[in-house]
Amino acid sequence: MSPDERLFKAHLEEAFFESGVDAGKWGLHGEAKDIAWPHAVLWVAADPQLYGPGKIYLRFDLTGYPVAAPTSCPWNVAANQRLEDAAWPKLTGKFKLVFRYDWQIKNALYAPCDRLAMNGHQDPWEKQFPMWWWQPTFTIVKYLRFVHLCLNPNRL
Amino acid sequence: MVQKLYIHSQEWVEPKLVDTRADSTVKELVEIVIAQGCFGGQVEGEVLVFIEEQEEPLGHDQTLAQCEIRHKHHVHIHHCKKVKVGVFYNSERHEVFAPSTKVKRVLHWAINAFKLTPAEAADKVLVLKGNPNAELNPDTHIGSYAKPHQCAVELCLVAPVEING
Repeated sequence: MSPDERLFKAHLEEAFFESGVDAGKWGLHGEAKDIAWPHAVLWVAADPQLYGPGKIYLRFDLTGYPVAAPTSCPWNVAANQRLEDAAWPKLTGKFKLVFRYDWQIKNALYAPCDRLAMNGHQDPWEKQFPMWWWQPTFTIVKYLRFVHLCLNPNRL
Repeated sequence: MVQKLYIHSQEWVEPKLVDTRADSTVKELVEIVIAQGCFGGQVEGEVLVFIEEQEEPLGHDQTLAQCEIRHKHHVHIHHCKKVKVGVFYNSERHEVFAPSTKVKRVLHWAINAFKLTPAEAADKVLVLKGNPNAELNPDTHIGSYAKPHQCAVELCLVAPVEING
């Protein structure tokens, strides 16, 4: 097992990941032993008022984790393929572009913690979003928490 | 039978999973987590144990079962019985919370205290007044951010800038 895979699987057993699983916020689709490295499918809960299915599956490419940032693509787990455009969340407000698919890369989130989206966006994202701009000290939970924030706006 | 608990403290902003038993006393739990570094150093003053979102600390002679603490429950260990929270937005508001209060509840209180509209409230996060680059995880406990010996924390209510190209 490669160091990046070993570290990722270790992080899945840490409290910071497990507490989110226990709270129903995110989880691993399938079992850790079945991960076909460097790909893993995880899900993140979504406010059903914002995204009808109530959760979104993301297929991650975790090559070089965590020195390199993860990248993920919304995933249709039944068909085992990229989620069709029409089924991607349609957000409004500050995070409306996170689930865009109208840019040159159609299989990654437009997010400051996503490896593919980070390319070419260091200026201005690194300064605008220091809390989410990927650092090698981050874990997968940073990415999942960002997606959860986007899909679960505060309700009064 | 071993039961795991999520333990929060000033040192452990992100909780740690700690092995206990249902028949362990609160005092034994305190000994375990202190040994594992939940205070980060020398223990000074009273050690208070709270169930998540509960206002009153537990008696140290009770067992975890008697306190209805079960597998994977969240518990907070702190020196302060209450934490004074100041939040800055367009003015300043204060409220007092138990250390085991989730940041999410403090955020909702602040949103109401500043009378934000639903649209204004939607994307707000709390950050430390002295460190605006790190948002407070809504599932962490407010006591984990309190300054040692001051039982207080100062926060700002902010919204991230819009993500665009």
